[in-house]
Amino acid sequence: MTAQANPQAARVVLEQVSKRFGQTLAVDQVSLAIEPGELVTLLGPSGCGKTTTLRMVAGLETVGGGRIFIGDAEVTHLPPNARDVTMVFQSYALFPHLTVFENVAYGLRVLKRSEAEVQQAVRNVLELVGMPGLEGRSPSALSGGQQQRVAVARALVMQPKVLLFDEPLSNLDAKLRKRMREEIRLLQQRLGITAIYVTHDQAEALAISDRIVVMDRGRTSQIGSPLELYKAPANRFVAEFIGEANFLPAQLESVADGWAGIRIGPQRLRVQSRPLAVGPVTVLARPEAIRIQTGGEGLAGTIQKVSYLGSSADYTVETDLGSVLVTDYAMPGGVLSAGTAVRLEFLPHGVYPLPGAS
Amino acid sequence: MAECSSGIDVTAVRNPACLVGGLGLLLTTAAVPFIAREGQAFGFGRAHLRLTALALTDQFPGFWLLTALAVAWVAAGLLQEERPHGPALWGGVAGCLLVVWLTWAAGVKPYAFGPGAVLALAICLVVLASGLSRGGYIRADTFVAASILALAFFVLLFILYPIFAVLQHSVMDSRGFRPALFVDTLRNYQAFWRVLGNSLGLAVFVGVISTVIGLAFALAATRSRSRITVLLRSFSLLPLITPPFVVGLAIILLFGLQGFITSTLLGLKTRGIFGFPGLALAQTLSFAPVAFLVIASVVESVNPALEEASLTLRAGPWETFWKVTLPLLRPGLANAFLLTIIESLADFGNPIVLGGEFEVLSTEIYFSIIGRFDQTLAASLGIVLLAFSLATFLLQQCWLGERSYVTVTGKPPSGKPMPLPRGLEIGLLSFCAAWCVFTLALYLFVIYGGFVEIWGINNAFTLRHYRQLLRDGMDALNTTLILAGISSPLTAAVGILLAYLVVRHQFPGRGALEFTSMLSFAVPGTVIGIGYIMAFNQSPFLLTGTATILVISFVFRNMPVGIRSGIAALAQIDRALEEASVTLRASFATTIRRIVLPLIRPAIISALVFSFVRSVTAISAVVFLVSAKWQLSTKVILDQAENGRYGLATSYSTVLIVIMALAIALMYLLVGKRAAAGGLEGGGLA
Ligand SMILES: Nc1ncnc2c1ncn2[C@@H]1O[C@H](COP(=O)(O)OP(=O)(O)O)[C@@H](O)[C@H]1O
Ligand SMILES: [Mg+2]
Repeated sequence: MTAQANPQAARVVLEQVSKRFGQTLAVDQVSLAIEPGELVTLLGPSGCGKTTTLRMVAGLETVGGGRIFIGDAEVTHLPPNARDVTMVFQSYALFPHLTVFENVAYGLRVLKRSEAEVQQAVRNVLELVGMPGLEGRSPSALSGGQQQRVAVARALVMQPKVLLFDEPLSNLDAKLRKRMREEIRLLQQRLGITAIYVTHDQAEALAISDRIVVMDRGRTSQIGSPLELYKAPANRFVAEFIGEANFLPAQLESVADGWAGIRIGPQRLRVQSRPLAVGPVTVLARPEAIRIQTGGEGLAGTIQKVSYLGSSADYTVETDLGSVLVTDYAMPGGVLSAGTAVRLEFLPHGVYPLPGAS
Repeated sequence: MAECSSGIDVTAVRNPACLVGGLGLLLTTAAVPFIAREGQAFGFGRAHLRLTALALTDQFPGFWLLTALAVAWVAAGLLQEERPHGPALWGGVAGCLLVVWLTWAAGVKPYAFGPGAVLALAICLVVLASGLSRGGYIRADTFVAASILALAFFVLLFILYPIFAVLQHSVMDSRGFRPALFVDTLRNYQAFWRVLGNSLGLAVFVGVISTVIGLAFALAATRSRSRITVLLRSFSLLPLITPPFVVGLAIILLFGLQGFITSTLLGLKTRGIFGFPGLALAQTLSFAPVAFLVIASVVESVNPALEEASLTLRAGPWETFWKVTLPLLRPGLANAFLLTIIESLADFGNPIVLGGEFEVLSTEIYFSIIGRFDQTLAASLGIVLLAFSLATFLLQQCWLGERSYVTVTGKPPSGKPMPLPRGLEIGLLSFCAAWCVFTLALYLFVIYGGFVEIWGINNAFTLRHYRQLLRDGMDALNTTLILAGISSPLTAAVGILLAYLVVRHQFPGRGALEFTSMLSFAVPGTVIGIGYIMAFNQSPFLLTGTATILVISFVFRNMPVGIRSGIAALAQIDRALEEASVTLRASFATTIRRIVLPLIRPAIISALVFSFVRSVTAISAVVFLVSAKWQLSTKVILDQAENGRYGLATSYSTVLIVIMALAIALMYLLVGKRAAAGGLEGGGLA
């Protein structure tokens, strides 16, 4: 999971942490253990409590209930400046009255490090984030990407036990966002630092996380690796939030050893599954794991809508089980047109029965 | 304390706050005089050592409790504790109550509080604060928690307690507590209904006129394309920075018995200006600028798109003005009206020089104390005045509704506002120009008045008044400048710290703290003045007759200036900056010093200057608090004016005006025009 062990990296544990703002329960009994050197993402729609959770770890918000540990120590009620946790803010929060150098040096100066040490550390970390030579600039004279790098450098230079990110890329354009998220991930792995990363962008979460915590209205919906979440979502919310999803009624016919025999319309297939009761279920079918053909076996339907996206085509197909979204990357027969009668074949690797009746 | 000792060895101190606090308290009880004899300065001589808490235990066993608390803290600090904040928290609460109680109990005997009491209370507050911070009751460190506690204590002691003292004196006299006393006092006071009617009638009249004039100025200044609006703005604000009765003096010089217009030009010998006409004129001149500032900010915030929409819907400029613009200004007009009423009710300077037979509440309170020595009557009238002021203030707060100071954002809407209809613009500009010329003329007359022998009788040029000023008035002037100079940084510090706490921190009682501190603006100065002499003229809080009480009254009267400046400035700063700083290991105090203060420097300077200006020009509260030793300029001017010695009064006023002008000019130089204008607004409104 980590490229190299970092003795400074600490385990972070949240024990049933809650937070209430007036009437709203912003965070509801969130429990979570983050291993040293791991990057865990808090993912969820806006307002689900990600930022509040992160801020409680930083000590910027009082903890309503539960306990928080960093390393071996409980920090639940410690003020932020006693926690050894640094944070990269959404707005970067660079001090406008200080130069780039002094921004990065700020924390070290607070700790009263020697001038030589400060000079050395600041230059090293600015080099590390790819920003040498701009030390004397004022933050307002930097581009968005450069400000982002300074913000990361300022947090890294403290060699914190935990590094926190609150939607750090949301102010950048799409291209830069992609590049920065790769850089952040590389840096985090190279330094083996424990990190908590908040985003509402599922693609970003999938790309950089060791594990993802999907949050829904203050609760953790599911915790798992990107692959687990995609392949075996615990519920409809997670399935919908991560990737595209069809939810179809199906019949669960047998379950054994983590495998299930199911029937979707006319098609029978064996898929991986958690233990579930035999009977009617809802299955998740990923659009890219459905083969669309003009003939042959499978669920019959008619194409309602076609969107051609360059490398793929999205079809909305009306069937007896409802409308089904299909993404066709291969396009062996070219792009089909609306009104075509088609057959849909579900591929076992993209079908997953969801717990709970339909 | 598990989290604290993780990096340290197991036998280390478990609870440093308790240990240090306990040792400090022990030292305080043993070596610092807890009480002081009346009239005796603080000191550390042998005689004073007999007044320490420890030495007093034989007279008053309660002091053992304080020593016990100190020992318990030392023990708690050394021993292991499961809930680390318990001793600090509960010990702190107990300690604070204990110190207050002991101070009180000792005060019953004729002792004043001593440095030991102050120190002991401070220690208990800090330890309590560390408990609150460590216990997770507040999302900040001990410094922030201690600041909150200390400010809450000050607000209680110096704003609420004096008001309580007035209330108490209105229902309690030497014969004890009698709820009917208040009613009886007012019933026996024949003039009550007339005085009340005078005050309210004057306030409403001035409120209406000032609002109309304020609206005229606001429209002219913000919507006219003419260049002279800049001049309008500056001249109209003059009365905000001058001593309160300068306008009154000027009106006497113009319209009084020997007035330039009434006597010299028209040949009338009349005292007709004294009373309602003069007062209404003086107050309108003084308070229309307040209305102007309030309404102007509302005019500026009207979204031009609304007016544009009306114009595209075929309405002409006049129709748009009547049907769209004016209705949008309604909350601003109401706000200006209510603020003017509060100011008029509280006004003391103008009625005292111009009132004549026309008595109002604020002057009657003054004469009850100074002339009749009737504290009960003063307190009862004070309660009546306070009730009307507070009711108006609450009405105004409700009107503002959700728009608390904290949530105000300064984003102007985009687009170009509609110009005024041509006829209206010309009318408004001429009126405002005439008003400004009149205001300016008043000031020139005041200055001129300082250079003539006897106004209207012997108009020969003389420097006599200035010579007399140099001879007799310098002490008061020095005292004024020194005390204002001491209190202005304190006011700025207290106000801005309070703004910071209220805006940036969540804690129980936050709303109450903000409200109470802004309340001191709604409490008329005369009420606070009598409150201070009633609350602080006896043991244990014996402060009357000292410079301290003058400084305290300046600080807490002017605190809203600092609060407003601070809140406005903090609203412009992303709070993530401060959060970044504390996650970078800086303490909250360091964060304030290295991040917040540099970024709100203009607000600090304008708070400094305006609290200075307001201290120098204060009269209504301090008139009760000055003493022979600590005399203030405004009181000297008042005495001269009351005795009809207008030459000396006006020359003294001129000196103050020049000093104020220099202070304001200095501020413009230091912080630039925009911030200065913002500060002027805060200074004028608060
Ligand atoms: N300081 C606050 N005061 C009141 N409500 C808040 C505050 N901060 C967050 N909330 C509420 O708590 C919920 C979670 O907010 P947040 O943690 O910021 O969500 P996210 O970061 O996932 O978008 C929201 O409903 C939000 O309105
Ligand atoms: Mg958020």
